[in-house]
Amino acid sequence: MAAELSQQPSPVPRDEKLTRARSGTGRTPAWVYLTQSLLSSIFLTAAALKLKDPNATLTSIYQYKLLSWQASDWLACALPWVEVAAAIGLWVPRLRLGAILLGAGLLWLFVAALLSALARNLDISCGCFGTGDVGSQVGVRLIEDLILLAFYLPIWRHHAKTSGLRGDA
Amino acid sequence: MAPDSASGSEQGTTGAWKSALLQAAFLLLCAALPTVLTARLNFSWTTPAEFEAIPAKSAHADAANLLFVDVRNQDRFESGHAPGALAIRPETYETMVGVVRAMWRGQRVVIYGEGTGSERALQVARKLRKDLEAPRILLLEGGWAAWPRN
Repeated sequence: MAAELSQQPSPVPRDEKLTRARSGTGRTPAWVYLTQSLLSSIFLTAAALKLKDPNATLTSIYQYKLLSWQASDWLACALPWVEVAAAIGLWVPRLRLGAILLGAGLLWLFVAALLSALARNLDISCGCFGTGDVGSQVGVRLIEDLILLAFYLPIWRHHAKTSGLRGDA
Repeated sequence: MAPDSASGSEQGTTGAWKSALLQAAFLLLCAALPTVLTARLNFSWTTPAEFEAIPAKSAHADAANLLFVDVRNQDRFESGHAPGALAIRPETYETMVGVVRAMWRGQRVVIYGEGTGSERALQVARKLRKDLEAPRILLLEGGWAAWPRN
């Protein structure tokens, strides 16, 4: 019986699966949309808060004492737009993998900066959400960033697989 | 058969990384234009501030005519502070307000925390504005992080 079952064809033939994937008509699971929505809304919120007060973003970055004032100034201008690109890219099929890489890269950057602040016992606000997080603990932000990073892994796996089937990769 | 599929999956992974890197580079390029515009035009959509801000450089140059209030933790205060600054935090405010009154000669009062948007600095500023009968209370732009160092 078990042997018979295992020999039964799958409800959707393999060729059809490939055709669906190639044409991009394959169904994307709901959890992928949910994860992407969560990540892009977080990045867009963070970017909006940084753009609302560029000077506060600048001093937040400078507080880490990792960059000169000039370099912090440039980073304060660039960071929100890179976050916007990472958020919007998640919804453009041809840019998804890049957006995942960019978003995860940003989060690794934040984690490294927060770890260095912790190591040097700096009493600072992380600046992740502009001035809205004044007084927030560096340790809490670190955990939040690591959780967000964990969300990127399954969507990377999903999109890397489907882009391979479509021939994007 | 197995080695073929393994190498196929390896190729797929390498391909995914390659296209991801290219796409990320493209996204960074897309972010470059608004970045340059933000830097050049110095966009700021801030709402009118509750307290006037004084640039750190101006405060540093005019330090003799200002009364500084440092709202950071005691250890941070001890590791460095503005000339003649008084260490006041919201929890020590009631005991320190008398000292501020004694030292205040009508000069501008500059309050600072660790960086911009210090909640403690705002709390102390609000209390001082009320208790010192609305003197000119300023917040140090960028907080202590922006204070010029030698």
